[in-house]
Amino acid sequence: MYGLHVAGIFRREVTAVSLSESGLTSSEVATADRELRAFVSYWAYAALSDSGMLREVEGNLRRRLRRSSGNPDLLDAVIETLIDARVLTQYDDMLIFESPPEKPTITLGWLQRALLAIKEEFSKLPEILRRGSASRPALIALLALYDNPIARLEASLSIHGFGLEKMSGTILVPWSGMGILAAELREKTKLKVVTAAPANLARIVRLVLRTMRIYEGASLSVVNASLEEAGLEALRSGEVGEGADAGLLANALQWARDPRLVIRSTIAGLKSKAPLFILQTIRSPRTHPATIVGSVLGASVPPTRDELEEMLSETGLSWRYVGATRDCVAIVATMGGM
Amino acid sequence: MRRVRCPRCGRIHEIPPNHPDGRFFLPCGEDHDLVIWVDGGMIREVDVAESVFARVGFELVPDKVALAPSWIDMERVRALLAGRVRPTSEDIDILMLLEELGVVRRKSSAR
Repeated sequence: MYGLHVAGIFRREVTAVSLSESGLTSSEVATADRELRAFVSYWAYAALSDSGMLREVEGNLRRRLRRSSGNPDLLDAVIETLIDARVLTQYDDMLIFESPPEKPTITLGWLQRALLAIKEEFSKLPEILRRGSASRPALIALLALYDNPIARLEASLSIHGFGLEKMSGTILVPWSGMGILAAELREKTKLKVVTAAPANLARIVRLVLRTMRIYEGASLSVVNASLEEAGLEALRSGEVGEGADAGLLANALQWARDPRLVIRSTIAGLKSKAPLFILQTIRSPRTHPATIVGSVLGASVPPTRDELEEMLSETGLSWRYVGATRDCVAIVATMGGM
Repeated sequence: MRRVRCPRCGRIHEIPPNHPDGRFFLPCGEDHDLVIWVDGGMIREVDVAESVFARVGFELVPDKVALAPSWIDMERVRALLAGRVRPTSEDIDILMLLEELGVVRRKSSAR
């Protein structure tokens, strides 16, 4: 659902082509954003209320809640989403319960289908807020997060926004969103796609691709590796030869335990001076609902713009913005000068 | 096209030249499938296995059907499960994926 916040980041023509390819209109994206916000407010409220956590929040100080939470950044996202929906108000640092949100009405069929699969995962939200993690999400919910027009819009924007359709050679894609991004790259570019997935997901990613009649071979390979190991493993296995010609991280960093390591490992899997394209939603009030959805499916809270810039600087990369909004950035980075 | 003769019933099957490497199922008779190993574009091995469909039946999980991946033809899946069409190796992949997602289940596990 992070794709809801990437539409305005590239040139108008790129947005128009990408919307058309994913079968969406700008007004539909705006409706999806509004309906997702209402859905997340309602089900986050329901999860906190059912677990008794809402009573802990009510009348409590926000900084005290942050201190006792296993995931304080997610707690902030949840509290701000509930304040925005007028479920809570904040007086000084104290949180006060106002009224329950209205049950959301989802008018978009594809959004309804995706959220139906994800809804049950919301019961894990209190556990994630308390302990910082929860049991593995249902595969059907994880696939639903990517098998929808918004995820395809994000893929199309990555392809056309960074000009990947004009490139040749090999592209390293450490996170392919259950294979959907790899499938879009295979369909819309001439690039050989080397993607990765942790061992427990790699078999499913291969099945997803095979059922789309996209087979591993000369133009696609799936490497068994976590996001942090993808670049090095692609290099070690020989799938990228002496290094890929480009790398793509499209809303990938929140799926990693250590985003810095992902950037380093991906760069290690590229040829010297090959570009690493990063399309990344950043933490902001507008992106909180997508963050909450991602979190119940096992993702982390995305970095802020400052945090992302710091990560890139720490890894010694040269980089420049191709586009930036309050909610998303598009970056081209290389090792050793632009 | 390369041709493979079933060691059990003698049926001949055609394998496209661009078939990817690896092991895959090919439904053959009512009660058996072929397990074919393609490596480096060559057919290395042909084994006979008891048909998955003959051994275990699958059924749809009603409240999960709406959540099946958008690219999967659920009408064909219904026809497959009802025995109206013979499964191909692509169909076996589809059923494996649907089982992983909880959209279909083995009949024995539903009891």
